[in-house]
Amino acid sequence: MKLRNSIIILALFTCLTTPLQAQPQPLLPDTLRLPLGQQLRAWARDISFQPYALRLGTDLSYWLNGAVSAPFGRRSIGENLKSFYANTLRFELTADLAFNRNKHFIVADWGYASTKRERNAEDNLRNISYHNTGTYWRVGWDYNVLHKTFTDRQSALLLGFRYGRANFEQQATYIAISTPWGFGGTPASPAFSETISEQLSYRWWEMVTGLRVAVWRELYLGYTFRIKLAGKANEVNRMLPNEIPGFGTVRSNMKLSFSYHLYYRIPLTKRL
Amino acid sequence: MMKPIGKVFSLIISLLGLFACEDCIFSSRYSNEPIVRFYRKGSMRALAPSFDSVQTGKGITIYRSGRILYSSITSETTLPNSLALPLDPSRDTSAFIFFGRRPGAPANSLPQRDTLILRYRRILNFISPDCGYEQRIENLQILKNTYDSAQIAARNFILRSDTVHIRLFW
Repeated sequence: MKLRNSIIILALFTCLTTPLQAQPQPLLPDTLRLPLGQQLRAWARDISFQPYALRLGTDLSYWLNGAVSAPFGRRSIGENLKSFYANTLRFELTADLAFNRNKHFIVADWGYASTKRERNAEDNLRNISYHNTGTYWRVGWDYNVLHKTFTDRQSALLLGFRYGRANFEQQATYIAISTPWGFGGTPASPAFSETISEQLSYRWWEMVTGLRVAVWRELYLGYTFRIKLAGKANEVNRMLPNEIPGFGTVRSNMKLSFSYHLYYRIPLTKRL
Repeated sequence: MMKPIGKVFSLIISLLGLFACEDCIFSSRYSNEPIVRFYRKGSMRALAPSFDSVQTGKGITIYRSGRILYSSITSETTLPNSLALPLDPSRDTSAFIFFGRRPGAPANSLPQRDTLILRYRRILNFISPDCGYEQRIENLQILKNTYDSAQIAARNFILRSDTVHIRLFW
């Protein structure tokens, strides 16, 4: 027992006094201690801003959404499909430029959207016809979190952000019934009807994650999951925006969306 | 082992099930009928309306001898000793004319003709194809008033049973 205690005390003493007994070591070159200019040059060498590949694509989710949502409507599938594509038109072009091999991406999207919606019920209360047309763009950055795993330098699991902006025109024709003001909704006292038209712009931010997978040669499939943070429209005069091109329907401060893309990649360098 | 394309498509198909249709479950918090209350000067005790009638600027009677004739506000949510004034949906101003004895006036006092003109901003909000739209009234102002003084108590009209929008003093 005494021997074990002695060993423990000796070991503790050795641990506590070792730094005091250590001989001073000569300073070795340390990258953290390099001048700032040399550090920046080392970082730039590591990052490599040389473009690696350009990927061009389009969003397929509009076509797929129409087909998938058709069985869920109140009418037949065919009528729902016809109604969806007659009242909604949307297309989006997307491009990303990879640099630092397959690690970083600069992303830009451009799109056009046109939406028609209406309530045309027999009660004539709150009936409205709404039409929204405009273009949008998004720019942002993606980071491939599995750039070391996907050694083929093709597939990517991405995390990133976007800044979006839409310019659009919205128009609404609505009917109001107000007996105290002579709009009773009868032939003798017709309902009040008015058309409002406004030109607006809207901006928002997105946090995104997505997957890009090479399916055949330079052809890619991918999806993007977006958390959209609602922004603000400029100078709303008579009508709040309901549908915003690129953002979608405004109902809350945050919106989730999912889109599927088809891409074609153009390699810009032969060196991997 | 599943190929990458198989993984992508199985993920897409599973997420497509998230889409569904919707019905109108929306209930607007907004009203386009400001609630007005009447007071004697220096008092904050609301007085019961004692008018013979109240008309809109179009000459249509909305109140007669203690009965509200036109209002979208249900009797459960109507405040006691108050009047709901339906605003003109076609314009940004509305006029109301009050005929008869002022609230709280002695029974033998002479009938009067008072006018209240309101100005406001109409904001249209499309809700959904099932629900239609709602009209919001913002920035309520009093343009003309033949009472001694008037006060805007709430500029934004949130339909609540305990909300008074306009106070009129005489």
